[in-house]
Amino acid sequence: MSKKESTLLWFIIKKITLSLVLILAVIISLYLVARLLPGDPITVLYGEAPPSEELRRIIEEKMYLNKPLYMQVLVYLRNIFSGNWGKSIFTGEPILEIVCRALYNSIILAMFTIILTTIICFLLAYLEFICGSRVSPILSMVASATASIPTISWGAILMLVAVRLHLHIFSHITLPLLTLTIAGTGIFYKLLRNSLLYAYQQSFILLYKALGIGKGSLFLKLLRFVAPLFISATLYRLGLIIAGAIAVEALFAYPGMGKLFVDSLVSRDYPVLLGWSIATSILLITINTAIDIIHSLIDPRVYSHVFK
Amino acid sequence: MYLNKVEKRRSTIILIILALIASLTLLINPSPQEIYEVNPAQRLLPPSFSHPFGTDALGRDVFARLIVGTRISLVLSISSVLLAAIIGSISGVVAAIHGSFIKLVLSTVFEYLYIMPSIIIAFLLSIIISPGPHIVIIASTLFLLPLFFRVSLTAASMILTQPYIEAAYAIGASTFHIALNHVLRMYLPVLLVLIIYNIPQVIFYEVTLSFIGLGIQPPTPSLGVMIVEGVEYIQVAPHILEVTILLLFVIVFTLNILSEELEKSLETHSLSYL
Repeated sequence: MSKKESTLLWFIIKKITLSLVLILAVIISLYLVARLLPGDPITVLYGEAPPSEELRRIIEEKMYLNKPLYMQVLVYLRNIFSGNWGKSIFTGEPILEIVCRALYNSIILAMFTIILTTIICFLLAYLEFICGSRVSPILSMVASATASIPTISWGAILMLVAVRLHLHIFSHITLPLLTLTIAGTGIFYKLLRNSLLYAYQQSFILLYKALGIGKGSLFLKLLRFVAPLFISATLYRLGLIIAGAIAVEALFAYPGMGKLFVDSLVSRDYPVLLGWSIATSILLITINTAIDIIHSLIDPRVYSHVFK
Repeated sequence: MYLNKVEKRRSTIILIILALIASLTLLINPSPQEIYEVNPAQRLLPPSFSHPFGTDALGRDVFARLIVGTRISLVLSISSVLLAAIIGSISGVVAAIHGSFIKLVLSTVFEYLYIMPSIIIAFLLSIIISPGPHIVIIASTLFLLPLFFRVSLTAASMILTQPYIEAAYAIGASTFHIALNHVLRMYLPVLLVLIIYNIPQVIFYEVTLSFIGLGIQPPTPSLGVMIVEGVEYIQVAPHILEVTILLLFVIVFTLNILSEELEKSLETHSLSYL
């Protein structure tokens, strides 16, 4: 194996190990915080009518509550990694199932949003690249404007429009998708535009121009140059939408992770909240690690820089 | 070149005018009665001369509430951004200067903060202490800290590779002197742009917190509270939501222009890009 490859491999191994440690730390700290909060699990389970002494002892035995705290943590970790995430207090459904269902919906929403945003951004950037200074002030003005309204307000505006025009919305995903796309396009367009401008000042562009390359293929070369940054930003946003489109999902009652969070918050369903936080954290760590690895695969300067 | 100057002057003029209008609202000090007193006879009135922005569902003047709410939101967001900037950049510079072990520890801590949903932290805090401004500040500071740490770490690492740092070490300057006078001073323009860029992010974050009931608590107005109330009455009285969103838009748009212009004139692009 060449030196370059082994450095890359070492970089990836280090990243993955670190993320596994972080996952463990997050799960343990969440469990500890949940346990150390006022109110013991048995009271939460039984509410107003406390169980008899004997029943309480049996439950304590079953839930390992009579064991020292580190044992409880270990048991909890074992349960988490063997897929036994406990049950919701209210519906009695397995938490893993609830979370997976919500995660699936959220991932679909996030994927479509990212794809739509990227397509619009590329088209707008190409338009600006072709037409030049005639459209660029308008485009950057509109981009700044759309980025100046919080996502939730865009949702409210779209809702207002849909109500006023009596629009027939054919799918429950339409409005959240539109909201997230409109709210994200401005920032992403500006990011893409700024990095394209930076790329345009590089000397390799001069070489391509001297070679007499067409405008379309020149644009593709520029895109290749800005790809690492743009892909990182896109994946970062993917994670943010999956884990954090809380207000939008709650507003449109879209059954994803955000709505799950709000619902379990309102009904004080602590086991589900715990499961939600663990799933979200694992997801964010995975995406973060994936960003680092993909970034270093596309742009080898990243890891070589790290090891200098 | 000339056109460039006109462009610059135009946005500066817009900014100055907006700042003047904003400072005029300092003259208006709504009394607590105007903000809090419930007036059932005057509920959900459309905009009129006595109530410029109409009234809300409890008959309170939307204009007065917006002025106070904007102040609260701005104070909260600016203070939490500054807090995150101070803590984040100091630890970033320390990590960059000391390298290896301290860098690994600090990076792991901030990575941990980044993946631990800050909303969960806000929720846990709201169980222990009652929800309110302090929770907004703590949650948004934790939300921003990883970003400030990461940017300052990258910027400081880049600055440390410059030849003049080596020269400073050669003269015998102390590490503290170099950190303060060379690294932090070079990094300050980036930090300034980052701070102004992130004030709107915290305002947005406060809106989300209000939406799930963990933000400022309702009788007290804030931009988030006003938006949530507006969404509630979107069918009967859309003016509450419209006015609030418009105000929010103007504030955030101004801050965005400010950070863009600062970025251009301070030429931090090459630094913040990486």
